[in-house]
Formats: sequence, C-alpha cells, structure tokens
Amino acid sequence: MGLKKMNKLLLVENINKISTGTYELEYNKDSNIELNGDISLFNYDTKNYNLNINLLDNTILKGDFVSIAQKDFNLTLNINNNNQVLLNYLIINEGQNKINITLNITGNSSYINIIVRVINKTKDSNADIICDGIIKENTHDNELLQDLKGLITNNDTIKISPNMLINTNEVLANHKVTISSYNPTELFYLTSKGLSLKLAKKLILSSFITSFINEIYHEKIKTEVKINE
Amino acid sequence: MLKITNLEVKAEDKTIINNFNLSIGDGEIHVLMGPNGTGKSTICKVLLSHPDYTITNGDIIFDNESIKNLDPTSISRKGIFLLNQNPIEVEGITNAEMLRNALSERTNSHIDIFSFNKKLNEVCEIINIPKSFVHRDLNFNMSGGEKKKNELLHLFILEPKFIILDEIDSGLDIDALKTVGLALNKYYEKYKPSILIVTHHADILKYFTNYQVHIMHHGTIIENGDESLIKKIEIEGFRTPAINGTEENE
Repeated sequence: MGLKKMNKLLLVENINKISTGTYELEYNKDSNIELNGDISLFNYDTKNYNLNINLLDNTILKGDFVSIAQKDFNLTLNINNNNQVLLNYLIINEGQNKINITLNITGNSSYINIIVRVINKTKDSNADIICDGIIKENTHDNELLQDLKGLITNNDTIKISPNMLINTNEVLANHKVTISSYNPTELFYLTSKGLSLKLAKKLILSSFITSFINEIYHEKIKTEVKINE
Repeated sequence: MLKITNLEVKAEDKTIINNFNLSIGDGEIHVLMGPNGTGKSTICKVLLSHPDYTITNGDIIFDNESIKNLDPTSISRKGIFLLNQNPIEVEGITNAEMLRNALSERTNSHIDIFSFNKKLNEVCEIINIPKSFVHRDLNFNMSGGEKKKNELLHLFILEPKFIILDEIDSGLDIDALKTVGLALNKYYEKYKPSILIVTHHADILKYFTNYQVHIMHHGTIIENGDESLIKKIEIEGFRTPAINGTEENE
C-alpha cells in the first residue's frame, strides 16, 4: 500500500477520481468518488453528507470512518471485480438519525469485511442503522462479512438491521449483530475488584471504543478517537 | 472475621443454599469441598453480592458488620477478594488501568505511577509472568493458566485481608499449580489473610498447612474436620457416610 503518500482530499459533488495512495477525506456536500488501485481512506467528521464510492476492478480499499452522526447519512459502496474492502466504521450518534450503509456487489471474486460499532452520544438518542449487502445474480466467488455492534449506555435506543439480499448461490456471506447494554457479568467482575459502578460503566464504554480503535488502520484516526473518547 | 449463619440463597426462586453456617477467624484457612453442583461456587459469588442470587434468610457478618445488603464495590473495599474460577475476558481495559482506578477510588487519592509500576513489576516476578502482562487487556486472549495468574496479579496489588479461591487449581498444569501455590503461600506469609479455598482436589492444599475442611452437599455443610478429612476423601471420594445418608433420605 502507498501509505507514505497522504493527501487531504476535499470532495466535490461530481465524480472524484482517486488512484493509489492514502487520503484523508473532507466533504461538505454529497459526494461521489471512484477508486482505482490500492487506496487507503479515512475520515473523521462531525458532518454527514451522502458518500458514494465506486471501486474499479482490482482495487483494494482500506477505510476508517468515524462519524459523529447528527443527521441521516448514506454510505454506498459499489463493488466490482476482484476488489478487497476492509472497512471500519464507528458511528457516534447524536439525536434521531438513520444511517444506511449499502454494499452493492456486482462483480466477481471480491472480499468485503465491514466492521460497524454504534453508540449514542446523548441519552434519549435513537440510532437506526441499516446495513444492506446486495449481491447481484450471476456473480461468483465473493465473500461478504458484516460485524455490527451497538452498546446501549443510557435511556437511548439502537436499532441495527443487517440485510443480505443474495441472488446467487456462489457466495460466502456471514453477518453478526449484537446490541447490548452493559454486560452484568463484566460489571460484577469490575465492581468486585473495588471499582464503583459508575467507573466500571465508564471503563466498559471506553473499552467498546478501544476495541474498535485496535482495528483502525490509520494512526491519525486512532489519535482523533482517543482524544475524543 | 467472617461468620455466615443460617444462610439461605435463591436464584430465580430456586433454593440453592440452605442452612449454611461457617465461621472463619483472622488468618484462618478453610477448605470447602464437595461434589459438582452442590453450591460451592455460589457461596463464593454470594459473598461478593452477585446480582444473580438473593439472600432470603440468614446473615453474613464480616468484621462485626453485616455485609449481606452491600454491593460488590463496598464488599471489595472492605477487603474481600474473589479469585474467580473462570475470569471473564474484557477487551479494551488493561490490568494496569483497572488496578490503578480501583486503588485510586478506594483511597480517594491520586496513585503515584512510579510506586505503582514498581509494585507491579515486583508482583510479576513473584507470580512468574512477563511484565507486559500489566498492559494486557483483562484476561483477553489468555490461556486458563494465564487467567489464574492474572487474578493473582490483582490479588497482590489490591492486598485484601480475606481471600476466596474458587477452584484456583482447575485447568492448571503441574508447573503453573506450583507457581500459583507458592505465590499464594508467599502472600499468606506476608499478610496473614483469612482464606476460603474451594476445590475438588487436594493438590493445591500441599501449599498450605493448618486448615480446616468442610464438606458441602445440596447447599449446606454436612461434615467438618481437619486435614485428615482430606485423606479420607482421597480414598473414599465424596461418598462419605454423611452424603450417603443425605441421599438415602431423599
């Protein structure tokens, strides 16, 4: 991967073509990008505009996205032939928002692994996450993995809907979804060591984010998340 | 130090501990043995006020004060430590982070990092673990033996005066058992805590002397004795006359 090269990329509405390299995305409007090569993308943004990503054949995408969601947002990935997509997506939701993640697989021999973590920033917030994996007919040798987790910390609600629309038999697809409040066993373990319940919950929330940080490819995103944890 | 009287415990309306009585004095070592599913691990958790269990009768007195209505945090801060049979894995919280916070809250003061790290390093040597252990996530991706040693790390840092060892010997190979046994012995020699050892096997007991033995069955203690009772169990198993009598009466 061309990790040494790092560009801050301000996206505009029309199609932005990106070739091999590492890019920090910035966009102030709904945007389209076309990727070609070994691409490393990351974005840490409090604004939500719809993002449409098209991967040309033989493209590898490593992506880290942290979204402090304050309104509805759509992320669409169009996946063609021989693509590799490794995507980490942390959603810190604030308010009543719907986030759609759509993976359109139209080619063959691609590997897609998407990890999504969701927490609400404020109590009474409601995050509604829809993750669609659409695998077109007559495609083959694709592998799609979705790992989605939400942590409820207060009076908030999290809804995660993983949908796989598979129109071919020649695919390996797997998804797992967990939405949980604080694990009582973890709370007992920590409080039995003398931690207060309040601090135990704080550490568990922090660990939820930390375990996500461990998956992040880009140091800058790691730093941003740690600072704002 | 600890006195349990007429204890009755329920889990989801099912009575699992009944008429349980046990007294453990300062610096005393007591061994609780018995067949599987008889309530030994339940007693361990109840002493720390595990939320799955409800005390419906009796009392638990620790240092002349009832602790049956206290939460796990308060009980821990009184000096009771449960060394778990199967410590859970918590990814994202390191040993150092948890221990530093626990000490800081308990003393309501800032922990001196230099002294804290120095002590961590000393403990790592005692229990024969790499110093990198302190920065690993709580029990995460650790083997069974490593988890037990990790619990020992917590023990040595938190310095409790009453220790509950819930099947510390399960899943340990001979070398790990020796390390754990010697470390516990060292802790006992230095701090003279009271210890309640819950075990199925006598192997861990060779690292201790002058202990009392209690046989538990169907949620209550049915036989008490000294070290000679262990020898009897090794020969006869748990099918002692007392247990046979209990089963015959059912």
